[in-house]
Amino acid sequence: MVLALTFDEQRERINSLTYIPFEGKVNLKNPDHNFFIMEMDESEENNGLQPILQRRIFFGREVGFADRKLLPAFQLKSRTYLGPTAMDAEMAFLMANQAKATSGKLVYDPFVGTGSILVSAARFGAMTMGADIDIRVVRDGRGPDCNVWSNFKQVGIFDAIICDPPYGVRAGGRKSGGRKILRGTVDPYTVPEDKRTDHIPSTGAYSLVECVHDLLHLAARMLVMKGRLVFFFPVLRDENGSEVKFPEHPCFKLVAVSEQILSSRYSRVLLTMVKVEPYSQEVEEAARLMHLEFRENHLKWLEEGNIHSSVFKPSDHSQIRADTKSFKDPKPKYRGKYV
Amino acid sequence: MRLITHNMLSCNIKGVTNGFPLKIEAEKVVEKEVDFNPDFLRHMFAKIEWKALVEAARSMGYAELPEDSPDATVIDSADETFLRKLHHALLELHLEEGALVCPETGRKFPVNKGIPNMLLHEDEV
Repeated sequence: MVLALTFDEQRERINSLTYIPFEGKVNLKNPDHNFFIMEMDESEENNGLQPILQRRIFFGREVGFADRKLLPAFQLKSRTYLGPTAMDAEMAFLMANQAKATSGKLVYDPFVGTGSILVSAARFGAMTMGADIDIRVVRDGRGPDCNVWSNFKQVGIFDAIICDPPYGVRAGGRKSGGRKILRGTVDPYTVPEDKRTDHIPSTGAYSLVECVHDLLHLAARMLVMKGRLVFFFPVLRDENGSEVKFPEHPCFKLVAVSEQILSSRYSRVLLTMVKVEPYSQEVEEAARLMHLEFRENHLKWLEEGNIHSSVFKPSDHSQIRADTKSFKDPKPKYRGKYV
Repeated sequence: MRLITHNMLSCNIKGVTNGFPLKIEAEKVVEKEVDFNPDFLRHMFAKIEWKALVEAARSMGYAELPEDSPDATVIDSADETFLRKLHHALLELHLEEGALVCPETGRKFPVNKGIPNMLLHEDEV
């Protein structure tokens, strides 16, 4: 809800800031610098979530202005080809900004899917590159004008890596090296000669901790110095006040943590990391120890399946119902990404 | 698949040590125009494996690149003849159909509809 302030109310707020020692002359018509006050109303609706309890006031100098006219042309509903976890256009633009994607830069997404994140980086002029475990999503799409390319038409090496790893809530992580035995094959597993062309290999489970560790390792090797790694990471909200620990890597400095609340149970935070140390063998060893420590001591729920059940476990209220009636396990078996 | 991508791909089969550069078997090559950005090319030039790019461009039917990697004076000079060639080879040539072949094992990675399938089979990881 946007409340218009009266002229007097506006002047009152401006005058309340007289203690700031600005020395320049005020020029409202043609200012060199713009300053803004933003107020949040306590009664503000919060996308169906709990209302924001504290009234907050922000004061700041304008350093840049968003081009919101971009959004209608890039909104997801106007795209022909979408996946189940396609990134919202506004969020993708924010991610591209965090990564400083611009003309002359090379940006990589290792979980590219339908390309919803790279589209925004490309709009800002960056050259983009992506990879995905599911060849069908990138190669085939849904016909000639409904694939990863059509999304672009419509709208060490790398300077930035921007991605949205599979958290295991809406799409589970899968990696190469599955051991599904095909009919007519012998043990130990070998793919028969006549089936090698066009064979889609089975995949193995890939927990988020392992996936993020590999992502940091990849980024440490592939990013230029000062290059940025921008990715989403899930956090549970009902861990009472306990401080959330994020994955760490000796090559990276965490420069921004931006929370997006998704439900009363969990949020995701957009982590922006900058590469501050070059990659080396010693660094790899230190990173491995950090990873083991992280795995041992923090966030047990990140392991395969746990976050899914934490997010979808019935609330106390529905638990009572579950006791009286037969209640189905709310966690469906997830078999990787849809095509 | 552009040759800038090819320059970063290698064969990752377990035990393979010389998986780079992948040989190109071209069945269909297409050219797509890309805006010329000299700054991007200068920035990329330092990271490119030159020999691999020359060989790859040749197997796609483009033989205009010099055999030996040009020095910084050529890259930074105002004459953009070289950068135009680099631009064409790196960004405008696409392998649409064909295969990438591992120099050590001969394993073929198919390229269909412009997408290289680098996924390894169950018995290769």
